[in-house]
Amino acid sequence: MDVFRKALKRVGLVNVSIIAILLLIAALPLFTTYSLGMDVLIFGLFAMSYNIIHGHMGQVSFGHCMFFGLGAYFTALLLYWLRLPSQISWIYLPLGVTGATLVAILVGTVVLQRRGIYFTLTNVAFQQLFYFLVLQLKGITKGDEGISNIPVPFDLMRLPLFYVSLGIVVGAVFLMKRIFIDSSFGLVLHAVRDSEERTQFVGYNTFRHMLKAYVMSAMFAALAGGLYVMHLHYVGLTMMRFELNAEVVIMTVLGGARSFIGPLIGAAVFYVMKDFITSNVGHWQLILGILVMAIIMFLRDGLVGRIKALKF
Amino acid sequence: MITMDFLASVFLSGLSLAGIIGLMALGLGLIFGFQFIFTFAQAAFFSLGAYVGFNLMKLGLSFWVALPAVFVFVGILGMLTERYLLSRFDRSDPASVLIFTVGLGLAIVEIIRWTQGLGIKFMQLPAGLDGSIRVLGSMFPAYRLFIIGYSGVMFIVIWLFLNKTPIGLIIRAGISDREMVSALGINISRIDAIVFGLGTALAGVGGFITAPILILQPDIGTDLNLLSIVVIIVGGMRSFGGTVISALVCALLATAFLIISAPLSNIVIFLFMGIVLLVKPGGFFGEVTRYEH
Repeated sequence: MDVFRKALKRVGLVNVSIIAILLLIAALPLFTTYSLGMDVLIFGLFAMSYNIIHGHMGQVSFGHCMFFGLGAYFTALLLYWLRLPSQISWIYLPLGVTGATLVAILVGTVVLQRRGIYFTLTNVAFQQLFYFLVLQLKGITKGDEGISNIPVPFDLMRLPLFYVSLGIVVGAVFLMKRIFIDSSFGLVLHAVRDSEERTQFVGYNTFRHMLKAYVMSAMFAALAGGLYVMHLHYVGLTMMRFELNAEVVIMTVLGGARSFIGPLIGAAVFYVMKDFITSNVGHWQLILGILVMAIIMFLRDGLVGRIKALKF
Repeated sequence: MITMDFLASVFLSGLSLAGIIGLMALGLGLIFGFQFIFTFAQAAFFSLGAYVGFNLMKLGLSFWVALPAVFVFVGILGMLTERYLLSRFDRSDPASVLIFTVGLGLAIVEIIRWTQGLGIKFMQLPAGLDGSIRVLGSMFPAYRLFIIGYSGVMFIVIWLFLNKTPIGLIIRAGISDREMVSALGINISRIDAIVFGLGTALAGVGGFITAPILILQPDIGTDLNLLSIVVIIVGGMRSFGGTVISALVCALLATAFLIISAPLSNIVIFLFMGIVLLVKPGGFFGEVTRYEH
């Protein structure tokens, strides 16, 4: 027992639990459904990308699903309208993500003019703007119905997409962790979260740092959106609706916004619970609402914060 | 061919929309101005008001009795929410309250869905208001005129409440300097409950008077709540006059573009809000205080 405890201490409890959780998520399709595992991975990536703004930059956005949706729509529209042989059509995923990232530079420049509640609400405004834009441009997006039967890249079809996206998620986790926690950029961002004014006095251009973080966050959200399209072979307005903003914030605080891996765990708990409750108990939204209120009141740092606070 | 009749009816529709979103925005603005918390639960209280009123009328109460009953019921519920839940939060952490109210909204809407069922319901127009009246040379539904009149009266009543009563004086003082008011020995947490209750009650009656012209469904409040957010951003968060004028401008803008298409009308509204935030960050009649950056 002592040896075990020492080994645990050397690797670090948090790292052990991260690996354990990734393994658990990788094994999800074994004891639940394949599509539940996909939901956890894709929305876990989405929630982690959102957490760059929420947990690391200290701003709450209720519009982040615009980038998820834009990534999804750009990828889907390219795949659907500009057909390429399936061996090379995977190129549309990075192209779609690039498109959404360019939009994020423009939107970020505007929304980062303000902080706090105004930042939150300006994001809502832009998310609504893009939602209705998709609805308005019926000729291209097919509006309400969405586009089904999207041809997805051949290689991604053959390889189980689940494991491809697992690879992308794990890669993104380490990339984001390096960029955000281990670099000077991450430190400045945390300083901005704690006090933007003081960071400015030290001589940092806080706006530039925040914009970088915002765009990077949007990029990973768009990647999640593009992957979701390839999983479903479908794109629709449900990927841009207002409720999705709330859901991603909930996943983030559920897992713990202050920890890096928290949102992924939050997404896993969210979708496993949703799956169980909607099929066995019902009234998922009521239970979710009560859970959100309880988490905010009693577990300020989410589930991961609670695990970290345990003494071993 | 656009005729005068047509323009008049668009104008009056815009006015009635302005009344509804103005009431909601006023509640939202009062709560934010006084307590520095922003609530997403207004949409749920809007639905709650609609359903409570619907059921009171089904029990045989007349519209005119149900109206104040809804105001009192939703208001008391709001006061209890503030007193026992929201007052526990640290004021320096508005993000937590925001997310908390999202959870509250989800729970309320699901309870409505649970108890009322999924079926679509229609609320009867109150007797005497189900006809049409000739206004500005064209026929116009009497009920829409009632909404315009009622919200106008509510605006005046709230203005009088804020400007002519002792509690209103404290609220206005609290909006400009909250700490100073509590330093003067006034129990501000009691006023918090009143302000929050008033805000939710305004959303509740808004929902009730809107119910007859919309299809009654549990998430009836979502779209109008988003519109009311636009209204307070454009008008400035803590300005009474600004909220009223902004409600008029936004509603007329939305109704004018509604003729072309519904999504376009929303695009225009949210684009308008984005431009206002860029050009005048505090809204047209507000200013950015030291509490927000």
